[in-house]
Amino acid sequence: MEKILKVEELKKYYPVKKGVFGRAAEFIKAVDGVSFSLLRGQTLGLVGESGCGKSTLARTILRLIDSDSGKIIFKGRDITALSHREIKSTRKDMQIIFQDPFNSLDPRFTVFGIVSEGLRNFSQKKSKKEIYQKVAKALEDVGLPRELLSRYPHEFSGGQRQRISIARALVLEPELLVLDEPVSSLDVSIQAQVINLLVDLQKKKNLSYIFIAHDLGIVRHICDQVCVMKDGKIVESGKTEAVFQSPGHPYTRTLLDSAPALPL
Amino acid sequence: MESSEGSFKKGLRKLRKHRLAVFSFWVLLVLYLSALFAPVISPYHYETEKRAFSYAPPSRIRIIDSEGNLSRPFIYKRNFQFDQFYRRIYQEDKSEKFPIRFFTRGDRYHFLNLFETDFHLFGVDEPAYLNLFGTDARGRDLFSRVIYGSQISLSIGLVGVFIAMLIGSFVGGISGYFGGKTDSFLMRFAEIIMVIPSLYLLLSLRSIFAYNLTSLQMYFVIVVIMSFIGWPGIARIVRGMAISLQQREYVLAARSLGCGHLQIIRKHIIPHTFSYLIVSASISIPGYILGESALSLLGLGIQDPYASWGNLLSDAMAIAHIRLHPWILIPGVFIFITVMAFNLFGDGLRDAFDPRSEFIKK
Ligand SMILES: Nc1ncnc2c1ncn2[C@@H]1O[C@H](COP(=O)(O)OP(=O)(O)OP(=O)(O)O)[C@@H](O)[C@H]1O
Ligand SMILES: [Mg+2]
Repeated sequence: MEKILKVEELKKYYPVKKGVFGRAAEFIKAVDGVSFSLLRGQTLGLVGESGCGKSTLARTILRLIDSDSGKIIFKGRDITALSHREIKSTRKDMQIIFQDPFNSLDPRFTVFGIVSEGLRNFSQKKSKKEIYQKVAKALEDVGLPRELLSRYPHEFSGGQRQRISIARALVLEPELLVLDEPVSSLDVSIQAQVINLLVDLQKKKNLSYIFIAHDLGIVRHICDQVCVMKDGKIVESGKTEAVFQSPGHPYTRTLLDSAPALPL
Repeated sequence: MESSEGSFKKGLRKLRKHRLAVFSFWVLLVLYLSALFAPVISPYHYETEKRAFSYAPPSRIRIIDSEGNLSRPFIYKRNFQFDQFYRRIYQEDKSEKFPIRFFTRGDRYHFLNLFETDFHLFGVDEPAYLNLFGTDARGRDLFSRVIYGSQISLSIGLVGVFIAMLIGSFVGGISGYFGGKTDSFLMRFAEIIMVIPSLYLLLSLRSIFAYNLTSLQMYFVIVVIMSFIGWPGIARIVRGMAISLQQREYVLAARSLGCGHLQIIRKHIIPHTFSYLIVSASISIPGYILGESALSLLGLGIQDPYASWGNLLSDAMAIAHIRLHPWILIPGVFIFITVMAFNLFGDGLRDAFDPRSEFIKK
């Protein structure tokens, strides 16, 4: 199978303390030499405690944040070397769903405005009608009726907002979707609905996922591979079942022990 | 989570309870409407002069005639004699009544460049001269000139604030969004402008431009100067908001949807500062009005025969004039009322909408 994404020795340090001459004296090593690869159509789980650098890693992979060093090879092309202008065409193929549904939709836009924004950026030639059709289709794909297109984000629940986020990403027909704790702020019953939606969409569209989570139950349920992250480093990785059955690293074991057993 | 629409309605309700703000709103509305309809409301054209009536005091409007009968409002024609210092002493000629006529005809004018007419809201027949606020040195009706002057004085505030906001929110947005060196550079520049006392800045900027300009050029020069002084304050606040907005996830999302940086600033950052901008506009407009007045007062702004509140007041620069003809201070009263009304209204807006609360919460 084709490798859709390969990350090599990726690093992102945040300067924290300013020295006497305004030079950074200390760094938070949010991502500290991470390597992994992801096959097309598969799901890679990324687990680790809060603050271990999962979101930073996700954002760096999408070049929403610039990395300090390392390579991100997406579909055989090193995208760390691309300029901001060149990266635009790649952006369409990799999208992200954020952790906090209350913060990831601009409250001043209607659902139509939110979901159509990417389309308008990437395909200026498309007619208004075509854009509307695509947006409506994307909304129906995530289980929301097209009547909601003129509503504003504040009129929706967390789960519905997360569906809007998914529609916003999917309308661009991406190949890689990074899910940054997409359900951790939702009720358990809603979590299952959204997870099932994501699994269905993956099958239908042959999507590749990077799935970031706290919740090991969900990871076990949907991920083919899993990476365990601690302090910016990947301490253990492998096939999900293998890692869950016989964790090699002590940190993985503590994670597994402290995880509540969630029925799904 | 509260809806933005809901909080808008709540803000309006709060604003309505703010008595002074509501009152100020109506005062401002009346002022702006009369500026719009200045040629209709003022009984004379701003250039109409009657040298015989130099520094005539305000006309006495009477409703009881010399025989002691109640009558519709009228005035008497006035004549003058010189006293021993060759000052004019005006006396009423009580032989004939000149009633104040409403919806009457008078000086011709172009209304809003649309059509020509001679319709006036009120006036009196010749040879009587109706001067609600008295006249100036050349015998021009001060009331008419104050009303015409409000067109310049009141609009300069709006136009100036609008331009300052365009610049301020753009610079502030860029500064807060990009941060780093861009931010330090832009903000140091803004601070330099802010620390120079605005009067000196006003005068030195004015000296860049030629002295003899047409009135239209002068208007734009004043607007440019005033907005140059005004944008840094706005930029600093917008920058603060942009720093906090720039970290929201929808900004990152916009990035991954292929938006450019400027597009994000324009679509996802600046619109969120609108509520602040509106409040701050209403609070800073008085500064623009005062700036125009200061320039015109010093003879560096709007020039005779055009009227603005500032250049009308320049007549009142000599104490002797104020002693003998106190009514020439009336334009100052208008400046005072407008500035107060904008301040009170702005305070009310700020209390009601509290635009910064959105940022304090997060
Ligand atoms: N813009 C930033 N500037 C400085 N430090 C940052 C910045 N963003 C993140 N960090 C730091 O980097 C580390 C990793 O943060 P990150 O958000 O990636 O963690 P996370 O694994 O996603 O945590 P969570 O599970 O809580 O979402 C944290 O210590 C955080 O404080
Ligand atoms: Mg995170």
